[in-house]
Amino acid sequence: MSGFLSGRTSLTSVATENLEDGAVTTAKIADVNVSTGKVADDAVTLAKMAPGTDGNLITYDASGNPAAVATGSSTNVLTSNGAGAAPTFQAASSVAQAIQSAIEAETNQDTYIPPDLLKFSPGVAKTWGSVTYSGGTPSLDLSYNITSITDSAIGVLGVTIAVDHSSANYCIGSDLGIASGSNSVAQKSVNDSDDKATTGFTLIFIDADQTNINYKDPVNASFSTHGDQ
Amino acid sequence: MSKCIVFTRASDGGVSVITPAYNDKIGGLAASGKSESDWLDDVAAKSVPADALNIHRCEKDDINPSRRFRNAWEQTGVSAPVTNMNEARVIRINEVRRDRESRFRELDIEYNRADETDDIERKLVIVEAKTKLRDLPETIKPDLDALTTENDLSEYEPEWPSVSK
Repeated sequence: MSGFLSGRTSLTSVATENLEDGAVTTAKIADVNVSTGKVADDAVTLAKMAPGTDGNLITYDASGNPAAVATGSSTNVLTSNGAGAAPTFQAASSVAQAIQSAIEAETNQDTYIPPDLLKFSPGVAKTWGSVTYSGGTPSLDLSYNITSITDSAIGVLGVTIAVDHSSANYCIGSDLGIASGSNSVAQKSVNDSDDKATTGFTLIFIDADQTNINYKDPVNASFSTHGDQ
Repeated sequence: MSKCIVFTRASDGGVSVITPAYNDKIGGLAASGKSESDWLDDVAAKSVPADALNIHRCEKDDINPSRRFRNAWEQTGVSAPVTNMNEARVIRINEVRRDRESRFRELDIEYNRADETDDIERKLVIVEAKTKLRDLPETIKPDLDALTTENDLSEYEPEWPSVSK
């Protein structure tokens, strides 16, 4: 070694092959010389980062320096505070449940309608049912918000509603089926005055083939109502 | 097995048969969580008019399986409805009255044709046929009175007066 330095006051260049593996110690590297370029892409692993507070997130402060977003409380959501400000965890803003009258009026408001209140929308049927005429008395195959049907005579079918309409001013829609090959068409109508109430209504089926009004049973019938409850 | 509620209407004496909504999505028997008896109490409270008579619960199979003479059903007490044969005969006679209308129109046409040719003999034949047709509801009454079952009454067909074409 002394021969290598003979006549020289300093060492300015050492070829790589002349350095032993592991020869450059940390103390031999000035902090300032560990520049961005000396850190390879993807080289900084989670383990190389300084510990922080659990639940915190990393952001940048107004100076553009890294900063921690405080953890916040349970159920808080991360909320932007706009440009130039770090986000923070805050309580989620709550949306109120809509009430029946607002749903019926289709009020323009930021509320939500839960499944059990959806029925109050004006566009949703308040009742419906499917009836089959077979045997001695008609059968109610499937229904919604119906207490019962009443067979009063040929061509006269009463319907009792479970949760009543709030007024008798509601809309009834109905359909019926006739026997295959039959050339008669039974028509239907509702007597508004006596046979339509908040609690129910009566469907009347008429044989359209006859000059005089004759009541007639259809093969099947279905109905629904729309209106406020 | 499902039950029905039968009652007699105070307004006109007719029989109504209530079929409870067993399968209703929100108010049916299963949805109610109640016993069938308690649930039927609720159905009756909502569906049976306050002035109803002879209120009776029965199995649906206890109801007459034929609606042929449905409007002649009656209750003879707190029981399942039965067919009042006298009322059924009235229904059958009214059906005959309705069916003879087209036959009257046919005879009227034949009469007009006979009138156009001044065929007095044929006109008398047609008049006689029209008279028989007019009297038919009365003349068939004994026949109908002799019939004692709904089926016989339903299948009964009168001897319709007619003339040769």
